[in-house]
Amino acid sequence: MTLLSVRGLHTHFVTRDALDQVRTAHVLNGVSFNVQAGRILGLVGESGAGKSLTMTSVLGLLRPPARVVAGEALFQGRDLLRLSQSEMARLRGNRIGFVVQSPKASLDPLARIGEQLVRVQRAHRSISRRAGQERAEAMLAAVGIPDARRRLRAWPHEFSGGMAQRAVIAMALINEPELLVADEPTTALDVTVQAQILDLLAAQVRERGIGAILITHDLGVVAQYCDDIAVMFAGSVVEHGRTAAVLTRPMHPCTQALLASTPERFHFGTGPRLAGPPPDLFNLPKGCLYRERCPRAEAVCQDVPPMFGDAAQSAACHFVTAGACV
Amino acid sequence: MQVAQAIVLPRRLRAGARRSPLAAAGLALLIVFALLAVFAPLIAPYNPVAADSAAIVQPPSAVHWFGTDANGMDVLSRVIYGTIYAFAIALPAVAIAIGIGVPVGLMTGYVGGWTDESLMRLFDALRVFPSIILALAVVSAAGASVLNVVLVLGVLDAPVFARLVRSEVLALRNGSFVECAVAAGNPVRRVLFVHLMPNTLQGTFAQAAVRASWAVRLSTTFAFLGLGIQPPTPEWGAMIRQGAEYMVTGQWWIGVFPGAALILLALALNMAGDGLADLLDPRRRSAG
Amino acid sequence: MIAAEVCDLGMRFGRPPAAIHALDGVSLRVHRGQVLGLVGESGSGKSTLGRCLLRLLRPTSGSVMVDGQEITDWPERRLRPLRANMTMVFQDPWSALNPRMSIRRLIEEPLKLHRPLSAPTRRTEAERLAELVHLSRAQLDRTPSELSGGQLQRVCIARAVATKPTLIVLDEPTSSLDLSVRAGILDLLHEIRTQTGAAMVFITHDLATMRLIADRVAVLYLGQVLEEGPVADVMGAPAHPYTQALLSAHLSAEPGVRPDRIRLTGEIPSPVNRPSGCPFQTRCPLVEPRCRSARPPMLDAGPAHRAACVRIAEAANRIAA
Repeated sequence: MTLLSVRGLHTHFVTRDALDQVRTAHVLNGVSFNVQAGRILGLVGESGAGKSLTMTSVLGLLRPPARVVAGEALFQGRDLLRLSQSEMARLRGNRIGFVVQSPKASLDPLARIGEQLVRVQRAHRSISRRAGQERAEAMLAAVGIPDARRRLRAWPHEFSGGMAQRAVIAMALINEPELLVADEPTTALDVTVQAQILDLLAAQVRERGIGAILITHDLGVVAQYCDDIAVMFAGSVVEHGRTAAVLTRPMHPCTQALLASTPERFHFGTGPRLAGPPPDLFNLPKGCLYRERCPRAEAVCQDVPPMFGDAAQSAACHFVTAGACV
Repeated sequence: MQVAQAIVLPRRLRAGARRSPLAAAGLALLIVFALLAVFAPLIAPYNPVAADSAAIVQPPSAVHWFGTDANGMDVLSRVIYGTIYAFAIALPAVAIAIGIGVPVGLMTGYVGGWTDESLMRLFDALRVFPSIILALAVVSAAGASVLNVVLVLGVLDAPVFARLVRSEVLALRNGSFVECAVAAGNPVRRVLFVHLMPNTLQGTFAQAAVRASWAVRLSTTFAFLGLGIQPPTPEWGAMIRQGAEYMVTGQWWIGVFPGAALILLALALNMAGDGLADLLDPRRRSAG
Repeated sequence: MIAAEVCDLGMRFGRPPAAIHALDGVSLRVHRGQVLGLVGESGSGKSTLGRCLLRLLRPTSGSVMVDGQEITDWPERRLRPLRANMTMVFQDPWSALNPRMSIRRLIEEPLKLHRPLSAPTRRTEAERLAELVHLSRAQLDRTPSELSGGQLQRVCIARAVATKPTLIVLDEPTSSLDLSVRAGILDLLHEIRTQTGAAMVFITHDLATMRLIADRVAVLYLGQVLEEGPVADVMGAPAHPYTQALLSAHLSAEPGVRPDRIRLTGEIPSPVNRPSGCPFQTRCPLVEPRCRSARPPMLDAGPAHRAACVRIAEAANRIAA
């Protein structure tokens, strides 16, 4: 069952430069992907590809001068991009949970953990404080925080990084959302803790049968935890499909370059060929956005490449034929 | 290359003006005052210290646009010449404050420890002391003159710059290019003046304009209290002092015009200071 | 030829009872032309070790030797000329470069400080260095805010090799960079290593990168070295339980390759209240009473390969999957 369907999302960012000319950065250029219930979608790409921006656009968290200029995001039969701020506020924290990279950023340093969990509940439903506290305690235990009853009264600064992230996940899940969005949830954590947190996320998703989007730049995370993958470059999805398929037989040159940069596959001497200039979002090339970095670029790349493939794997490249890679 | 930069700069000024009309207005006003100061002998209609006993305390008229004061001197001319004194006091005073405060702030911020503690406490004591009392003490000991007033103001304001620069240094000292400069083998003097100082100056510029306006106001206060400059020197503070006596009897023009000039100059300095700091930031060059 | 060595190095910050022992009895050496990798998570002390090696910090106990000279207690004045010989590349290229200086001036600076060159010679040398790190001439006249992260890190590397040092310490040089940019920097470092023959100390938390670039690796935990040896041996047959756990926590980008994960419980204890005995005792699946009583000695686990675990002697140090 498709939980979230994003089609043709375009977001612009309007600024004035040093000479006071108006410049428009096309930060998202037609992002399209689906999230299925019970499955985790990994959204990968380098910095500036637009991964976080995609989710902030979809969740209505954009601030001017950034704004969505086209596209739709269907969730439970409604287009999120057409909803008002108050309607979106009713969905966020309630039907859609959000976990960000730095737990310190989501936790109010001046409120106890239990209080924050109760706040999130009371923002979206009428529930007594006591019932809220009880559900909070159950939730903290469910995310693996020992001695949950005592921890309700703890302050955020008393938690270590991993524990704080667990608390944030508890806050995101306590209202039983259908969709969970996690933006680099383990990047700031130690390697040995990272696996614990990802295991937790995966377990919760499976148990509850919800859908999840995991934004990351780490292909290892995607390979081990995400069922589906969407690879982004310069604000568009260049490849989309089942993780196993995409990572073992990548179709798009961008995915191939990303994989070739992972330490396991990297050989000295191939480095300089992988990275090109970062795309200038103020002056995007016509046609294929990956043109300037692609080893295979030809005249036909001046036309926008179609998304070729099926639900299992598809890529936006002229040179992709069924089942073959470039 | 140079030509291109010369063309770009006025455009950047215009761009900056559009971004902050307040700063542009301040700068424009400052330029007007500066012109008044430079071309005072050409602009002022009368000799500012020419007493005319026949025309004492005349209200504003076609002959004397701002009226005349108790000695029959033209108020407009005195206000215009007063600009010279305002600049002649404010600019050197701020220069002295920066000259003392910035190196001290750089050093104490970088070195820390006892040097930092003791110097900062000393500066705190200086700040807490009412400036008027200190000025009285200095001036009565050393005599009332422009130079003394400038020195007192300069020393009084040094702690402000020291504190400002010190906090910037503290923010930059660890885990940044400063550490990198030390690792590369820079001696302390280079770390302070080649690396740290240019990066702390931004705040200093904004503060300099604000302190200049303080200096102008303080010097007029001193003159008002009878310290520093004495009449018949056309200094705004002295003029306001004289004018205060006449306010009660309804001859408002003697005090109000120099007062208005003072307010305008102080305002202009404040507004321009903010804008200038913004414009000088190299990071804005590539923004957008 | 030993380029640098630390003996029983200790670094304490603050005073008891709230003292942090960032380093405790660390002994390592790195040879010319060799890359020593320092791997560890937060609180391991790896960054502190790098800084002590370059005497950017003054250790509270033990000794530091660089190029045959013991520099542990030298005052800054005496160290300064030596800084031509031992340089550092920092983690965050954006904050490591003075935003108000041009790239050219930044690259010329080490030359200005340590080599008596005339201005035109310095200029040409700076251009040569820029070419070495694959930067264009046009970029020399820009300021740091106009360059990307990868380019900035190349500038930092150019600065680090300008004075032909015998020792280069790199503190997580690629951690804040994108994957593809990272690859380019690793390539560059490999080139520089083969060309200059300098000793490198490469600090990172990423084991996969370590495997690529290092010859030997030392694993740090709470300020102590738990394992040390050739990279192939330590990664292929890790002797210490912590190294085994660290390796198994690494997520491979090959889907479906799921080595049985050693799931560690809990987190790294606070460095303020370190447990006495083995620092890993609070999370080790193989912990025994004797791990708590005394600090485990370094035992041989192979040729030039040692680890600090009491169970090595009975060959009982492998965590069953």
